[in-house]
Amino acid sequence: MSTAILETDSAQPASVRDECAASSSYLFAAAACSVILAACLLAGFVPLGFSIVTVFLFAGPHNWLEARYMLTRMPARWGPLSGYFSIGIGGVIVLSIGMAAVRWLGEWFAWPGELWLSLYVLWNTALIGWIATLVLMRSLQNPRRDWSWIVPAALVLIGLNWLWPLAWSLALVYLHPLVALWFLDREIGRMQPGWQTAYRGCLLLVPVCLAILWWKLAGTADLPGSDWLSLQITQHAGAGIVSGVSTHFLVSAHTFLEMLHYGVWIVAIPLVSVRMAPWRLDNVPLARRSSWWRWAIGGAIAAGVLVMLALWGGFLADYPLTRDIYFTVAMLHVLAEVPFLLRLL
Amino acid sequence: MNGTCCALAALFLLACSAPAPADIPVPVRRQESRVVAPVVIRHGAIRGEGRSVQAKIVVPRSLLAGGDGGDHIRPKRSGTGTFIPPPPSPNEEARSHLPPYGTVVAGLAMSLAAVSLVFVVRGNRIAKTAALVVLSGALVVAGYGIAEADIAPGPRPNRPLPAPAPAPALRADGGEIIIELTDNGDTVTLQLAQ
Repeated sequence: MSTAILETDSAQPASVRDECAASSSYLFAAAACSVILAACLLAGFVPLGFSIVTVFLFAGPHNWLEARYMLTRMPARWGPLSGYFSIGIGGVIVLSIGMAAVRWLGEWFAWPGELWLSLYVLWNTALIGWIATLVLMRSLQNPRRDWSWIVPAALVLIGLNWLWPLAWSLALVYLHPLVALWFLDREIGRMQPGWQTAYRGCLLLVPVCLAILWWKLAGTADLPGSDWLSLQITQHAGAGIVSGVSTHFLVSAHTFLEMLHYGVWIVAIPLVSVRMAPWRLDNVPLARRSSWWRWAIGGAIAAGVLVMLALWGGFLADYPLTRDIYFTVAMLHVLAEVPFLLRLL
Repeated sequence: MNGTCCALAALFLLACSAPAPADIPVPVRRQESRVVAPVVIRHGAIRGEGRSVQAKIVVPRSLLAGGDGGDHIRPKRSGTGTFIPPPPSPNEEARSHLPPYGTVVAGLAMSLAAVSLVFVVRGNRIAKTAALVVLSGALVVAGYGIAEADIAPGPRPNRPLPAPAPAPALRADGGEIIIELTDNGDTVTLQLAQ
């Protein structure tokens, strides 16, 4: 008798839980598909305006929330990971400074085009070497892992970089937004595994949207506008490197992927992984080390808010100049994703 | 057997990499070397410039073929994206998109990739699959290199030196001309001093 009651009691909560999980995954999938389709439509119809608005609204907040997420994933004490994080963070800083130095010193001293190209190629080579080093270090942390294939793969990529440096750089511009989708997949697998199937189904919409953009826009006329901002946006998307393709498609595709990138970092990952207000430090391991660390982390988060506000002010004051500075300095966050993504694999 | 196959594949890859020192041009659209644009000619004193200035030409940046302006004529802000350097002058050859010794370094990297592949795939089934993918890609690249390489019978001719940066002022009978780029308009303005 009591056994039958127990069986009945335990069965009902499980089915209720399953129903809740299923309905939440449908809700998540519906929201994700809506964002993907809306981003595709807006990027296709008003690419320049959409690019300007999304960068203005979301560039700063997404960097801030991404840093907040990284605080969640940074262990309180590195221990055996000291070497990994030292090379990871050191590489982020050195490569970011290198990129900024090449850009700004090159402009200041009016370097010839060949020197620019050589330095960019060397920087790309250093980037590949740094990533390969981190992958090998990560591989050694688990005896069941063997990622030694990264060595020949990295050498092939270095070769491709030296043969087609501009194409390689452009590929990075388009691949970077997709890294956020990979982050989200790993986080969903850890925190909301019931959503993973729905999420991966939604991801199939991305190449479909890109194919539609290509079909509709690749052969159209280039985007109008010879002003500095329009040239910035079109060149960032690959105008001048990719020939025979309308800049309308290039800007639309790039803006579409960037919007997905912003959506992941601003909405999806805080929802799935951080799960609390970003100014609360309960899930930040570093903040639990000592009160000094807690104050320091809190100060860093507050400073991030100030930087975000300054960025908005800069965009309002001089959008092209602020955009130029932002996309150079933002290299920091692009590189910082690498060690944290490898930690999730 | 597996080791022999890997060694043969590596040797084949090394052999295919041999033409890599040949220049592999980047598949970019050939640039026009001349642009025809409407011009407005004005006669009168050129204010704000030295006495030796005899003419001033103002060229809208938009006429420089979508950003293919000379790398010697550098805007105040490049305004390019994070990764993309300023494009070279339309008068340079397509090969200028390749850095110095680019094909040599690429060939070395591909050769090292082939050698490292041999050590990686030994006894690793997943690595063998990855190696097949890498090998296929490398074969495609090597094949492209063979198809596009300039395999001349004799010594390669020297690459022409890049055109010297046009100085902001050119001397002509002791005079100077100012060449100015502008973001506005779509007409070239030529102002001649009296």
